[in-house]
Amino acid sequence: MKPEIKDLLLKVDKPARYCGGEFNTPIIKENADVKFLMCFPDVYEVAHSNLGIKILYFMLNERPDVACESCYMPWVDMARELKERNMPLFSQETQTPVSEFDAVGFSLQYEMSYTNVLAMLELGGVPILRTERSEDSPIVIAGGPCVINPMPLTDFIDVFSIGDGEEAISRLADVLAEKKKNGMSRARTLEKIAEIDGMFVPGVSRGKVRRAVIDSLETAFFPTKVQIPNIEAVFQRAVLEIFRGCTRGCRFCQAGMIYRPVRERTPQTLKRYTEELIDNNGFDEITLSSLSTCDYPCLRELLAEIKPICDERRVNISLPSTRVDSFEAEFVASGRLSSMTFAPEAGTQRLRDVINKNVTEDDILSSCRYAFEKGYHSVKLYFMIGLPTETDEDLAGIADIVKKIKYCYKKHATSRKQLSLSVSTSTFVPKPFTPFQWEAQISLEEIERKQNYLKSILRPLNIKYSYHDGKTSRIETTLARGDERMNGVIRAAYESGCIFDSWTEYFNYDKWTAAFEKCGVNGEDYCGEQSLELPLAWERVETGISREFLLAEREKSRKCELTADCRKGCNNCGINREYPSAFKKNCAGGGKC
Amino acid sequence: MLICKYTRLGNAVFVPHLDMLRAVTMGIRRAGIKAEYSEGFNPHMKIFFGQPLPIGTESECEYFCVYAHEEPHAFMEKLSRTLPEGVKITAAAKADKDPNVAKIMCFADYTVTMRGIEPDLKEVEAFCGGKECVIEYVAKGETRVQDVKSLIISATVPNRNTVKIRLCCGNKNLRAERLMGFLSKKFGFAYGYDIRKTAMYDLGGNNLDKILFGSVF
Repeated sequence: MKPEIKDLLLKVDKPARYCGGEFNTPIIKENADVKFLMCFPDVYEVAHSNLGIKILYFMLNERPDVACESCYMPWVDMARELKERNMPLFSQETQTPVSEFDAVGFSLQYEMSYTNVLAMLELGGVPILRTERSEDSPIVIAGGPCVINPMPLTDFIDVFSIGDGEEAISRLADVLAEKKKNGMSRARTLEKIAEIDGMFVPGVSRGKVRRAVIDSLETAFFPTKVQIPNIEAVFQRAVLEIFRGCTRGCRFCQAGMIYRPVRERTPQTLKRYTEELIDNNGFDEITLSSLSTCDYPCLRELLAEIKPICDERRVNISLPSTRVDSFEAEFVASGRLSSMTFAPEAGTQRLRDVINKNVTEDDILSSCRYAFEKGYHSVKLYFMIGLPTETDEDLAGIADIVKKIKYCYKKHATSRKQLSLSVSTSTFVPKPFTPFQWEAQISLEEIERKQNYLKSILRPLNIKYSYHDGKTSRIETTLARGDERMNGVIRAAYESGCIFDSWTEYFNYDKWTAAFEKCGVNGEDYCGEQSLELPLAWERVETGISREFLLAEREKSRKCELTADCRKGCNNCGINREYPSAFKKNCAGGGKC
Repeated sequence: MLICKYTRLGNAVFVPHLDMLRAVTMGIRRAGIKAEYSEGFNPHMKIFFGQPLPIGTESECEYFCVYAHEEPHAFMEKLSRTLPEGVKITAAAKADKDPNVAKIMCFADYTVTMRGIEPDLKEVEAFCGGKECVIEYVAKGETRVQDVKSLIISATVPNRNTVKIRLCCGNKNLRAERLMGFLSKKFGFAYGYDIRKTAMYDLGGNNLDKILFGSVF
């Protein structure tokens, strides 16, 4: 390490975020054709909890012609030191400035990270606007769930990789290698990239862009050797992706729509990965990751296979649970005693039917009873406020569930501790490509009124209540449903000092409102109800889910009609027609494992 | 139980104490070494470390104890392959009980290497040899003034880019970088420097290696 970098790092908080040298860092090939920088627009500890960038980082480094490094958003103090010292933001592995890479890829996991993308480009010495980039500038790529609506970022990003990245990014690396060998121009390179499935290149791509979907996870690359962060990550554990996609069809959930169809790994493969993950990384916890882990048809078989391996090596197995049935409770209860988490999302059965969340009060109470009998004394509940058709009666339903859980604890607890119960609410953000994509978001006043109402009815129950800031949710909606006009707003917000918008202490609503005003854009255009007749900004992208299906689901929601889990039979969302090979190869929708 | 000596060099100087502890624990896990765990709902590996090393200071002489079922030599071999860059086990031996390194350590030797020739480096010797050694430093946003004479055991300048100092290190403690930071400003040294801890001693001035392993490495 250069002495000036060492001295810089000794001036900032948590220098281990920037020094590199993580265990399991692959050898960075010096003479690779393509120098790729994998970026995450949030701090180190958050970045290291993300699986997507790990998959692509290790996949690219396995290629003989690519050297992939990584870079994360520097914390405010580090960003200031870099500017003061006139030093560019650099990569973790070889401390190379961002601007010296052939391609710079950002993973966009949440909308509130957009201004950080601009900050990282600027700190790295790359022009923020794509039109101002030269032949020597890196090609700036963005992927991740947010780019399902790429429109608000078309001024800044050269290439959007929409959908699964495994194959798309490999093809992109092929083109970049060709560019290097043949001295292809930037324009020609972008044209070639636009031909790749799932790639949207602003100014080059014509017509609609189809989301990239890999047919099978069984044959897809999966990293069982991952970089071990120098300081503890937010989620410090081995991640085993057991399947991609979800069959539940919750009407507010974007992930449940845009990752279709379900693609599963077999228990045999997952067992092998578990062994490798433990041997290579040394985590004391492994999480079986997916959108709805308890829906994995072979979960019982898989757990029976991996439990002895994990027990022997003192590795705890965790299941991210949103729906807990008795079997899962039984399993969870046999591990370390932590808290139980449920996400009923809505307080009454009526509203849960509107959103197609197939969880009943009985499900929750019977799981609670089981857990309390096993000695649990802590429960967390997640709800959304502002869902379509919601009334105060639905909010009151939240208090009812709380009362019932408290009673259940009194009757069935085996622990002598007091019940620790916490309720957390977030505000409904209508997301593209969901049946609720046309819905209005409730106003800021209404958000705050509902939060206060909940506060008042929950206070006598003596439990913890926390809620997401309503202002953040308003801005999130404008970014999620934004069109090309939002480019200007994002830029104006960034230039007025907005960064780390997902961090409460840095989010500045007034600066965002000023940015809207400056650009003459009305935020209500995005937060209000969207017309059913007009095309939506994000419909430039095709996800494979038909508009008719989304409209029908919207209709059903108004009538409180449920749509069954796709595993019980095909609901004809369009995936079966658009991606027949991926659909057929995987066993969801009636196949057996 | 095993007592181990390890280094923290290069990038490892940026890693905070608790994360270093975690890194070694993960290394032991990766190596497939069987260690003992505490009882209770959240079992922890039975492993004990010395006092924290300040961020930015390299060290050749850190110690930890672990309840592991492994021969010392095999332990060293296995673990050396599974630890992060800059962290290396340099000695290991069996022990009957935890020698409590954190408690017995009293003094430490440091080598400060200037990144260039400093003509006035000898001033350091003179300052440390004076009747009192009043330094100024900033801690928690406040400027503090302290006479550290009793915490400096010795200071020599063998050449114009090296300072060797022995300081109190333990309950009574003076950070080498705190002293050097002050001196560098006071005498207007032009170059930056790197600090490395090279040996630790108990109250009687015995090298910890000698106490723990019977000989000095």
